[in-house]
Amino acid sequence: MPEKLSKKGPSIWDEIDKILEKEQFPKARFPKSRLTYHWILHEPMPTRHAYPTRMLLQNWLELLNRAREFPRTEFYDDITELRGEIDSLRAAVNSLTQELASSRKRIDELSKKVDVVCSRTKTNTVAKLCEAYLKIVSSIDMAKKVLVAETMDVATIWTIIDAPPFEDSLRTPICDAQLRILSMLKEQISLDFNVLNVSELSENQQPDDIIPVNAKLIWER
Amino acid sequence: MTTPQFHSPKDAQFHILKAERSEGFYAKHNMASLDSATFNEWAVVVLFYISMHYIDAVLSQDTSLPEDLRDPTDHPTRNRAVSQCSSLTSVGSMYLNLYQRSRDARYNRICFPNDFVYKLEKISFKPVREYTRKQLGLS
Repeated sequence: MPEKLSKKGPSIWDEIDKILEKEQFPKARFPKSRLTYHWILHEPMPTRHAYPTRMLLQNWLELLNRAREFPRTEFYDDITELRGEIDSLRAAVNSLTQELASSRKRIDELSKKVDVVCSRTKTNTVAKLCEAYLKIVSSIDMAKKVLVAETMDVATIWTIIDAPPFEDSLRTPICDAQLRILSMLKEQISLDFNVLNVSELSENQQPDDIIPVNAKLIWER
Repeated sequence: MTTPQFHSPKDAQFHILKAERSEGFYAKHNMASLDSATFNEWAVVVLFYISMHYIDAVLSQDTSLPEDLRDPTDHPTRNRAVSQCSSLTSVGSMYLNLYQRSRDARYNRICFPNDFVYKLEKISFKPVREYTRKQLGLS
């Protein structure tokens, strides 16, 4: 309501003139009813000399303006207080956001460092285990090659053997060597083994068709 | 046919039930007689799967093992558990062979000859099954 009044404020003089001329004082330009006049202006009926001049209407306008300003003055403190709180909360949120961004950056940096250290540790551990495995399998005649394929999750040691096909009892020394290496593993490192007997491949198959492309040769007879 | 009641969390009884149920599947479909023309690689997979549950049952009872090895959630962890479980020392290499052959069956495109399932049963599966069942107090 105050906004509406405010918007129509500039034309209120015209409206007042129109109402007074056409409805209240159409002919004599004097108010016909004291009650009507009183109802409009909340003032006693003026004398004839005090017929609604712009000064009197100015009073009415002031009353209207006061009414228009009423909500603002009435709730001023609450609104100001709330706005202040919102501003301080907004500032706190901004500060926390900046701190969070800074912390996240720091965590990322530390995480990268931890990854590097873990990766080095894992690589060193896998290298040591491979070395121990090679010491055993290099003495087994059927073992021809050893490769290592590492992923983020697991390191797989591939042992390429050349032995009579599908005679699994001959593989026991290889399995024993793998168990020995696994029993040495104390860290949370995932180590897997794979054995490939070249004599079990079909004519059109090559070991490279089966071994992962990222596998690195670490020993060959 | 009744629905088996599996234990939760996974304990020895859970793994024994799973192993025996898979054995029932293996026998019902006469998988020992499968040859390369009738997809004998799946018989190899089932033999490994039965063994794995018997192994898990034994591991779950070994209180000397760390928690992650008593209830392994992947094959590398389980293999490590087998290597560190003193009561499985005598069948460890046979179990690893079954593991290797199940991988050959699933991923390595190895075509098993006709008599292979029978040989695998004899060399690796039966020793693991009999030994682990004995460890578990089963007949």
